[in-house]
Amino acid sequence: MTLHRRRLPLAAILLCAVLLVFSSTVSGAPAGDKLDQLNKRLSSNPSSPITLSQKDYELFTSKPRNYSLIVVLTAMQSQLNCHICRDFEPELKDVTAAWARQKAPNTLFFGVLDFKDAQATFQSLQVRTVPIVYYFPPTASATGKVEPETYDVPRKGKDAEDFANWVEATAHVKIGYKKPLNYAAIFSALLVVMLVIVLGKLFSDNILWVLQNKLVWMALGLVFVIMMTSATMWNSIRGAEYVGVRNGQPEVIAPGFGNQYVVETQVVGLMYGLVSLSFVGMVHAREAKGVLGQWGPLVLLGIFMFLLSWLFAVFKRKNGGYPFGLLF
Amino acid sequence: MAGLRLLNLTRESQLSWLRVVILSGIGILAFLSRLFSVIRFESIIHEFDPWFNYRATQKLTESGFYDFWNWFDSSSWYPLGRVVGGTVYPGIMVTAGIIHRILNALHFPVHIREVCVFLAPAFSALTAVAAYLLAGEMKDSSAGLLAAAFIGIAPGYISRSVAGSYDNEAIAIFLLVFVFYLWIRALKLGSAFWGSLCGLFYFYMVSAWGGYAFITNLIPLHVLALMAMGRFSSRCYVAYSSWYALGTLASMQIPFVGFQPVRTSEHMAALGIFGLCQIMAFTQFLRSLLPARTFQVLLQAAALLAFGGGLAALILLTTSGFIAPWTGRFYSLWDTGYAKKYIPIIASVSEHQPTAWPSFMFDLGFLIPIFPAGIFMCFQELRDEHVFVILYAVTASYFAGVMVRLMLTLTPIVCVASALAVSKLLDVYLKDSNANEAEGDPSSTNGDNAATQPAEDDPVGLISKMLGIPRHYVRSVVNTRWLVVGSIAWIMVMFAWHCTWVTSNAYSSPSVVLASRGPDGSQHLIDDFREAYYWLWQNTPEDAKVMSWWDYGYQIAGMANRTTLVDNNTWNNTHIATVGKAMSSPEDKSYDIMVKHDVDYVLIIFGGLIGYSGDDINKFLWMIRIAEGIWPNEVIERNFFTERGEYRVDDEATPTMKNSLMYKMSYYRFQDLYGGQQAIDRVRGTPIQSSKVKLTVVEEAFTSENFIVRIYKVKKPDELGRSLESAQTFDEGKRRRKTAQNKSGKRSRKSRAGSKKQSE
Repeated sequence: MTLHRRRLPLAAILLCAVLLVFSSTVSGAPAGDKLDQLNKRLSSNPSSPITLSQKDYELFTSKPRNYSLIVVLTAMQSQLNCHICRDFEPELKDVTAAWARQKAPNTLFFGVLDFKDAQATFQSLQVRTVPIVYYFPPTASATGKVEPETYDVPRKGKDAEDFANWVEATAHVKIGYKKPLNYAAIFSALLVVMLVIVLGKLFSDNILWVLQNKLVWMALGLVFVIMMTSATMWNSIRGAEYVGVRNGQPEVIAPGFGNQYVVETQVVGLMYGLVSLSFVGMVHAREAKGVLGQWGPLVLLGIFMFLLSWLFAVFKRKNGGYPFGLLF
Repeated sequence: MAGLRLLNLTRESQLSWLRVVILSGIGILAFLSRLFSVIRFESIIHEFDPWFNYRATQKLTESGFYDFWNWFDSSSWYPLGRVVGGTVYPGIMVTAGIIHRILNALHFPVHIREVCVFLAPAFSALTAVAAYLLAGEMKDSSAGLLAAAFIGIAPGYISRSVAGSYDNEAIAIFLLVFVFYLWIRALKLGSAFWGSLCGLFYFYMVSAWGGYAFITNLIPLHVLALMAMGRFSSRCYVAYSSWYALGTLASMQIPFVGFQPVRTSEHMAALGIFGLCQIMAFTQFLRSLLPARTFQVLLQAAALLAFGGGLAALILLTTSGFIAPWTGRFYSLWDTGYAKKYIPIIASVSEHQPTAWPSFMFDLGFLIPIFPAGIFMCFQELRDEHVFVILYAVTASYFAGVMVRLMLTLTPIVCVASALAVSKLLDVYLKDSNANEAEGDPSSTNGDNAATQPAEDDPVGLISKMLGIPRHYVRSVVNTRWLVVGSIAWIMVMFAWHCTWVTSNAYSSPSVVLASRGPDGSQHLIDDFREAYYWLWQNTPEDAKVMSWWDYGYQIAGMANRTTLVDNNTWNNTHIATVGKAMSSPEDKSYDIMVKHDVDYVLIIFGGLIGYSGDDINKFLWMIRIAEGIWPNEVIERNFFTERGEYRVDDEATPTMKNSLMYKMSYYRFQDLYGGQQAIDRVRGTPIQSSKVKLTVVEEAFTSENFIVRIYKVKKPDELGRSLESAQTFDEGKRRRKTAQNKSGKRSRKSRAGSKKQSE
């Protein structure tokens, strides 16, 4: 018993020591090792970001760090349907490539953490929107800042220029990103211009006929006016969804006065067109002869009144306090 | 009719008298339907910008035209000041000043405020007349009367012209429509007289509203379209040249416009078309002199040379900086993402948001669905003036889609085009079909001539056969003519209701005085703004400088007559960002900024007590964003959002948010109203932070009845050189009892706005 009692503290100390050693290997590998690992990862493809796993993320972001690390949290899986992630990927590659050309080893690394590899990390960081960029400064930096900074891609801009500017400002490095000349676009533009000139020369009569045709201009003008008055610009500026979903059912009419779906504006535009068509029809049907003259005005009046009432009914649904309605 | 015939009038003069009577009726109606706010509240200037216009008009009437013209306003944009005479469109002030002078000369002792309040309704009556004239040029006077009636009550126009809305648009829309009428007139007649008149009214328009650029580009576009259609004529040449030459020279007399017509891209189209007109006219002249063959070669060479040379010159001048490129405000109409990224101050204004489709229906009612029908009819006839309507419709509908505010320029053309459509329909259906019969048309449209041809397959015949009722009974009910006319009449009655309802509910609030309804439907007026501005006026030194967000600058200057740092004339983004930074920084940092700018009082708007949602905490994000644009390292928007990206004001709010001056001033002593219970912010719908809000660099000077306006006095620097925070802690430690007593005394007086339980 006594022996036993005397040995206990020793065992405890041993245990503590083991735990200490163990925990230090888990929480922070020496910074130099991590740098080697990062460079090893990078050497295979220096001009694109390092794909990180959950373990890598924990390892490389742990303190101490003698390097800067930029981690892009993204979700590239197709079922997650993140358009902006896919848009941002090439931009990120361009910035990384520009950084690789700077030949400044061991200072700044780019990494990508995908949602499918590290769901737990995403949860612990409480990430709500992707892609989001975290910047981990070196632990012994001149500014004394250790906590990561974020770059919210949807809000701050997904263009490589914006991103590179942010990196330059936060990491105090020179990325030297220049927007590459889009040769494909220039050549295709040239091709199109030449094609237009050639076709114009070949079919000059037909083109002139189209250009001088009142019907073509009328169709263009009317479609444009209808599109504009059914608020197409709102859709493109606000990036409206095509169709809404409510309780698993597709929803055509968005609730609320200041909100709309793309399909909704298309329906409304179609209604404008049909209302106007029936209106013009009424004017002409009266002067028509035969059956059209007898039935036309009544039928068109019915269509006109029905569609207009329907428009007002939809309007009333969107604008709660509106008291009026035509037929229903 | 019988009474009129007694006057020995011919049918023609009867009709014109009828037109005059109807038109004056429409004018009176247009005036009256804009008076809701005067009847409900009082004769008061509305909103924000009108307060500046009112103040400038006062200056004009009190110290005369030349003083106004050279006015340097040192009490705004402190310490920069503002050259008002050179940065203002003086049209509306001069108009009101002249009307005021005429009325006084006629011994109607009207105060200038009444003139300002009723200017917009009076001019909307004139707009109705102008729309009558414009639509009359397109079709006939019956279309004109319909257009006048539509524009008289269309909410899209009422929104900017209710009584008290003393803003540039109040007279500008009349001028816009009238200039277009004069242009069409000049074009039709090829008359230099009408063209010059058009130029003169264009000058009036330029002096009244920045939107004149729409005219400056639309008329050249019209001429260009006519040229492309091969309709360029000497009439066109005379009208355009006289308008452009006179109008441009005259418009350059406005100091704010100055040399812009020859030096900015917005005006280059007009100049280019002017040059093109000269070339076209010259070639036509040559054609009459030269043989056809020589002329062809010469024409091609000249056209190429002129086009290439003109384009090269334009590009050269633009790149060398002689011609300014498009200004941000105009450019953001084309590249819709531009403003959001580069000019947050423009993007922050709610009227610069894009328009959702219900807004079109809301502002124009049934006119918008039949608007395409009107354009279709213009295409069918396609005279020169119809080309104009089409171009106007296409451009204005685009602009209205991009910015809610530009719905205003779309409204006139929607009214005119829809009036064309409706009047065409009425023309067709009001024409007596018996007249057709008399002309011997056997297959008359709705089968009225049953005697000659007993048609069985027409609607009347079918129904009478099915129900077994004699034909003439059915015919009296199923009469196509009256069904169509009746339906249209019904829709128009509905439209009148719609307009009245929209005007009364949405567009008649002065926003200086708010109205709320009690549970029993009784109306309760909330007059906090004027209460606070009156307090400022009466209780602060005359040279006190008041810092507030720019929205309230004009009101403080107009109602309290105090110096402001920034106001609604948002010409200096950096200065506005300075105020934004002061509001969003912690107290010590803000204090440095405020001391540097000699700020004596800080005024904020807080709606949390009664649920007024347009308050400063809701505008706070824009202050942060604008400040971040200038100091990206000192003000960081991200820090105002929680980890989950939420904008919160309760205990979860970020430290940056809780320490910002705006947050502290908004919620300072707000909890005291709830007497120990959890204080609830009724706008955000959340409780506020549970610990007490402490203020050290400012002290509460005034809080209005419903807490909407809160005014704080900036403390003087401590006399012993301590920081204000440490001085305050020291004072509190020493005199804890005394301050506690003071506070409880104040609280019971204030708490009547809060809970009654507490004071008992």
